[in-house]
Amino acid sequence: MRLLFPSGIGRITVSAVVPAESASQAPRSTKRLLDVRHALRHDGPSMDIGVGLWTMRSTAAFPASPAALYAQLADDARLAESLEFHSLWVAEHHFWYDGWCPSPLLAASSALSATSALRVGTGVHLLALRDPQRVAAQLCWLAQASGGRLHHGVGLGYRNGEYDGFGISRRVRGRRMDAALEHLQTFGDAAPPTWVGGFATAALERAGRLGLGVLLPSTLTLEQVRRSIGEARAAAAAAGRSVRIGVMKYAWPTDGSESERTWALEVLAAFTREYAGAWFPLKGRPGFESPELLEAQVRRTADTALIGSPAQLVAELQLLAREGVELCVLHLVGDGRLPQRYEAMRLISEAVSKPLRGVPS
Amino acid sequence: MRLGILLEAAPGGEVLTSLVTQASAAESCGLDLAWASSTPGAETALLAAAAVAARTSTLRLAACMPAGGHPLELGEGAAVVDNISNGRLTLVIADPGHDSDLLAETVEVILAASAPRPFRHAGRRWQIPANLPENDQHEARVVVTPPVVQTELPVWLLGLGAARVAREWALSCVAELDEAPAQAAKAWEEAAELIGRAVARLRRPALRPIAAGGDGGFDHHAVVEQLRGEEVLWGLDTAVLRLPGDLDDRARVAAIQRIATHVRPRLVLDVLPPGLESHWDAVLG
Repeated sequence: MRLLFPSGIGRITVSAVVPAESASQAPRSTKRLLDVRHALRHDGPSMDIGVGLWTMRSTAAFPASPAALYAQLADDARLAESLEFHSLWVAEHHFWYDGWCPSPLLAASSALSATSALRVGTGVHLLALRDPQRVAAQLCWLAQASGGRLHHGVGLGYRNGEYDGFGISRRVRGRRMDAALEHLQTFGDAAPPTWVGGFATAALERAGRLGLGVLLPSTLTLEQVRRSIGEARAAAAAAGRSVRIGVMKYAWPTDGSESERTWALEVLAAFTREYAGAWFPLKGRPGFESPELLEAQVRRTADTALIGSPAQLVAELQLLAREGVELCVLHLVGDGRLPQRYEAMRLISEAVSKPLRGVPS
Repeated sequence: MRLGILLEAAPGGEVLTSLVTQASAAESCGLDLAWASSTPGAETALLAAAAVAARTSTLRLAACMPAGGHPLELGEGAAVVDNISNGRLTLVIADPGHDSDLLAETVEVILAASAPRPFRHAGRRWQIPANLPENDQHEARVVVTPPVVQTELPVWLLGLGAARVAREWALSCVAELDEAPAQAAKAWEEAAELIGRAVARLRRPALRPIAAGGDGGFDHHAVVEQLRGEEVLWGLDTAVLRLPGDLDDRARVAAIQRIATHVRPRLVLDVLPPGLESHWDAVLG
């Protein structure tokens, strides 16, 4: 039931960075392309590139009509498809002032309907909030109805209020997740490909034990990615299974200048301060109640983000690919709503994917 | 009279493509509504409505979901689809058995959840929020976001236990496929007795079959006669037409177009001038 794609679409190959001798004389945009083409060869480990995360938020800083945001999701999915990205990813949260999408499968359904080849993923679906039987039937229906283009990223979440709204004790989150995933596996190939989000040992063991994918969060260092992959693979080996590795990464392509990097970091920091400050728990309390912890989280987010020239991004992706990362969802600074995302998506597509597939510029 | 179609994927093809093909045909020829159903064990109507909403712009969408799941999840889903469709959703809640108490509590939560303010629900089945000690959650109320686009989310009810709940909340109750016109008439009389003149605010919808052939053709005079008769008898004002399940997409589109050309024009006015229907038959076949 999996949809077979034309060879090469959305799949890049990264290998050793080669100095771009002629790039210094080229115009800026051309220089970016040259940087990347010189940085890439076809013979390295391969990696799928997706874009995310669409949340349909109307924030204090970026107020918008929620209906318009959902219309943009469909438009952006068409753009991602035309740029031949592997996938587009949507997220889930509940009861928040900005309207953060609470029903990612419905958002995914609209994006899948708006496209014909793009895969659409949930990054992540809070599966433990759902009734296992009902949600499994919905997932299998959408996977089948879309020709196998749904990717199912799942996570426990971390907001107690979301569990409380649904009358579920946070203490049973893990057990509910296990039960839901195990039930979903009984559907075999009718179920969508599943990626278990998180980097806690329990999440990595869960993915490995069930032979599912791992979707590592955005703010891990390379060493943490390496260690997480090792844990997941060890759990998979113990269960006689294999595990696929995905990772989300905050990312933004620049012209290599400090000014563009500074701008991107400021945008990311503003996003992180609100996101982590209001309700992302830092040692159990919202970040705004612990300013030092919050600023540490902002620094950690910046330090682990992929922000730089296309060549720099490729070099970072190469490191991840060498660790065994097969899928990288590039989280385009914050909630993906920046109008500059269109240029960023085109640049990533042009400067990374197409040259590798031999498409003339 | 508003006319719609019941969306069912044609056998054999890709489901989303089939649903979008039918809904696009209905929209392009001016029908009013596409209805997505759930089947036992597969509560997929909102997923189908979300898919269709992304590919249409004016067609109203009805999504029929059974009561039984967590109503907050249903309320959030309805809000999201109402946003995807820019305010075109009607949520139909079906009684999954004969449990009108379950349906009533679901409706109570849905109506609160679709209002643009925080709410608290303390019912027999659900406490929202639960304020469980281990969750360290002190907020007394929750709010569903994003808010629905429409001023009020249209909610219709369907099924065995629906009539009582519909009267209690002054909601529309959908006449089912096999519900006799006399039965529908009796139900609306009882509704009028209970809720008085407010009954005039309610749409009077029904699901009705169309016996279309393999090419999508059907006896439009018979369909018009039936719908007109029910309009006069009990006030039917929104007919959702179900085509045979074995039709392919081409036949379905042909039937949808025939509804638009041969049925819809005959159900707008109270009386048509002499000769006009004969003229239409001569022109349209």
